[in-house]
Amino acid sequence: MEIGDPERTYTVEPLEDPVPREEPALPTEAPEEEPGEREKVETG
Amino acid sequence: MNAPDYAEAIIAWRVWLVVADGEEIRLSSVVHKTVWTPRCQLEASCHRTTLSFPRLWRKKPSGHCAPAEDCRCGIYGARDLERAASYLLAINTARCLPSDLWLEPLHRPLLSGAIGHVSLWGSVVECEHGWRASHAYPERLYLLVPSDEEESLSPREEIAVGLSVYGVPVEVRECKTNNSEAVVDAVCFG
Repeated sequence: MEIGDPERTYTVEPLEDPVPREEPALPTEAPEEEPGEREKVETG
Repeated sequence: MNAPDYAEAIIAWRVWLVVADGEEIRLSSVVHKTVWTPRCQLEASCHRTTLSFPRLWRKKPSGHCAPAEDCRCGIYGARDLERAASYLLAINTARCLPSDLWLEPLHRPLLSGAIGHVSLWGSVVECEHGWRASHAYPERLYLLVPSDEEESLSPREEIAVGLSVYGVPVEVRECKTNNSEAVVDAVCFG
């Protein structure tokens, strides 16, 4: 592609990253707690 | 360390080839056939070589960082859509010519051409009609499909889905005729 003769050179450091980096993985649901030993409920 | 001159990427117009890379669909540069990696910036390098005396068959690389003002290296972007549109149409024609020496051979199946916005940053050489930069990434892509194409839009839609790995908007637009004005209309007005 013909874009003509150079005129000047400068530096560009974008504050916002132009690259959409890998999307963060979806948060996984916290594993359900292991069912503990049931509390013994005194009855009667 | 010098402060940068600008804190926002330059948005320019650019043309890509869309190629099959195994099972994947990828963007490729037109001249040097560099494949653009999804979600990773492309960094320029100078492909120019000079003959090394006395061993003339040995070429040595230019040895400078891209882009250099006194070279033609860097990742290109045009200021105007019209210029990129003309280029898109020119490369489609040029690729059919056997004496097409200015293009590196294409090692991957060509699926389509694409036009769109590219973000340019890093070291940037501003030129009369555009820029050459050290870093680039697509910002928005348009796939053009001729309105008289007999096949349905689905292949282009499939290509658009394949290009979604770049994480930028991809739009399929109908293009009425094979000239740059029609390309501009299709991109700007759908």
